Amino acid sequence: MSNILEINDVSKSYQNFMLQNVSFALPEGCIMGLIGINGSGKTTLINSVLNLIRIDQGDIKIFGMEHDNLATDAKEKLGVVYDENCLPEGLSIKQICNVFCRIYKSWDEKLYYSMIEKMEIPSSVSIGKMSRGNKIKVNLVVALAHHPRLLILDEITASLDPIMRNNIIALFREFVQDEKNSILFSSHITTDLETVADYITFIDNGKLIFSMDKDSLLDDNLLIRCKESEFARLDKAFITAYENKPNGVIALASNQLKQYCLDELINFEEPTIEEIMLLITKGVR
Amino acid sequence: MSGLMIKDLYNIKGAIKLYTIIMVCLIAYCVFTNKGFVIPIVPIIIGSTILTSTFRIDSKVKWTKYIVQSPLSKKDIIISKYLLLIILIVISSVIGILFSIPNLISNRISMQALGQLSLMGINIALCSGTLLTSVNYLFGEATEKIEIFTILSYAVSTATILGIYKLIKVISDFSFINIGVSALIINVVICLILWSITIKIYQAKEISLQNVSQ
Repeated sequence: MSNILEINDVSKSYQNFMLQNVSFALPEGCIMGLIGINGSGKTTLINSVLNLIRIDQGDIKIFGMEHDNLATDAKEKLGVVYDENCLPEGLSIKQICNVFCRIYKSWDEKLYYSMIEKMEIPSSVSIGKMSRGNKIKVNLVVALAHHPRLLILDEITASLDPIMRNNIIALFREFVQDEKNSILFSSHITTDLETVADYITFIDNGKLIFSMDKDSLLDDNLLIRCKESEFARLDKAFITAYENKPNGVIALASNQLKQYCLDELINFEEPTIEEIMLLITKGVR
Repeated sequence: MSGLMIKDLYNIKGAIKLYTIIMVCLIAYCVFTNKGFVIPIVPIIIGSTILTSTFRIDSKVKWTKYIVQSPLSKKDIIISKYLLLIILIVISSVIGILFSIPNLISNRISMQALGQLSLMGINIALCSGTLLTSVNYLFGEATEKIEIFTILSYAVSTATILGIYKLIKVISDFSFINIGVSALIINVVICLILWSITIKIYQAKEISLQNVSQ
């Protein structure tokens, strides 16, 4: 399985923010969730990948090519959707199709209209008159209608209702089924990523905290809820982060503590991605 | 690139109604105040300013940030605007000539004068549209200042074109229509140079941080 996207030691600095030495890779046929709190650097990273901003250090490869020198054929295989509408608001669904069929050689008109129908997007109104959710859906349809191999999505599900989010997640699973297509999906709705992501990359304050496969992330960690006295007896070498609460301590720990917790009757459970993110961000490491 | 031009043509459909009303009002004013000689220029100037509305529409949805990810290049994006400018100038020149036909028939304006005035309008519109496109893409698609830039670009272009006319008149004994044609040739060369510089700089430029969410 080769990598469709490679990010090596990328850094970018602004006056009051710095993306530092970020490295990870997205294999073919996988969905990678990019998580982090607001201002952590997810969008800066995505903008760097898309060459909207120039990186200070490192290199980025898309389809094995330098990201700032992508061939026209490579750009045909890239689909991008942002968290806001980027299509001219005065245009109708038909006019959007007329525009993009002339931009992409691989534009599939039949697929475009079938997805418009499937997603229940009103085709008789202009983009500007649609709800925010429908606008994002049109942007997604446009990105999918030219048969991309890599989809980059920046926080698109935040504007969608739970039913539509579910439908879109199903669409993503279908998209990667051929094991050649991949998705880099930035989101702070971690429940979406839990159902669909193969890999999770966590950025906090411009730094890469981890980039690993989701199943290992959840299987290798425990969420321990215990009293302070019980926490004091835990081997801190296996504690990743913890937070003091009024009624005890919540800790993110390696699953090597599982047997100890069972023996000492300490409560533990499998953490969610959100809990991992919150503890690492807000807790004591 | 045809996709970009079709997108702009769809976008200006709404603006065309407003600009048509403005143009008709101005032409009516010219007719009723016996300033019929200005009629050929009015549609050209009004028509070329329609380009401004495409910058505003693009900026509103951060279109450029989106479309640079497509197989189109930054060069294609800018060239499509210049081509749109030329189309607008050609169409509005024809409209200007058509509206001047009654004055031609009633001998209130000669063919030569019509040609001279149309050429002057084309020169001003070409120069200002080129300036405006360059400013828009080189200085970060500053839509909030686009109206000020539009007024400034027309003022600068008018001064520049009149300056070129004066210079040609001083250094040659060309007739007025030949001055107009010569000025057009010089104007086209200047515009082509400005287009090339704009494209080169824009290709190397980061997409404006105004258009990129942090």
